[in-house]
Amino acid sequence: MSTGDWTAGGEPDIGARCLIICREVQFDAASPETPYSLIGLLTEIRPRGDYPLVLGMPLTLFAEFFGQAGEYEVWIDLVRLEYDEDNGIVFGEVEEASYGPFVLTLLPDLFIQSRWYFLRKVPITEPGLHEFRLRVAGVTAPLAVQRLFVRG
Amino acid sequence: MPMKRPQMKQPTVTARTRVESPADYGQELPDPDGHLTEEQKKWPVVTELLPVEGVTGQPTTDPTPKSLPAAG
Repeated sequence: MSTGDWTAGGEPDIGARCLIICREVQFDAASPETPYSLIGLLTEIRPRGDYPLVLGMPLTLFAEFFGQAGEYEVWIDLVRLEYDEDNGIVFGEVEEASYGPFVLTLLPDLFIQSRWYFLRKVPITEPGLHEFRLRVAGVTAPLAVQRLFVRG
Repeated sequence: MPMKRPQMKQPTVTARTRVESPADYGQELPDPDGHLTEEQKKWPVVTELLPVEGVTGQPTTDPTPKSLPAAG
């Protein structure tokens, strides 16, 4: 693990090895070797209703963090991607919402630390490809991104 | 809509969502409407999802980003 000097203009040494969208995360203290279970993985959804709309059921974003111990400020951005339906190439994006700040405390000497975030009232302007971006204050690029296809 | 992107160079702490134990590692914001614009707050809230067709078929778009975007 590096010892990045944040005060010298460097970025915090933190990363995320996954970001998964699901309905629910269950924690089982009686199973310490595998305490986390993800229920209802979501890759695409089809809300009943006309757009624009707000999702009444929360989405859960599960992330696995690693890096230098410390406290961080986490944000999750929701972006709608504009893409060519023929070849799938993304040519633009529209910022829809930003959730945060969440407080993340990374403890020392742990391989991976799991967290999950409940996103309530997710706004959907129109159907299409959407992307969640996991960001941390002071880090330029998202730690992880995940896509959700919203059908009309 | 302006995004509240993080701009700080050093991690800071706001204590309102601090967690205390592994069972509490799930977090949500105290204000369920805080991320919505005034316009979005007027949109209908949909609580039902319809079945998705073609879940096992060929992806219509690449579901995996090839690179991470830089902060705007």
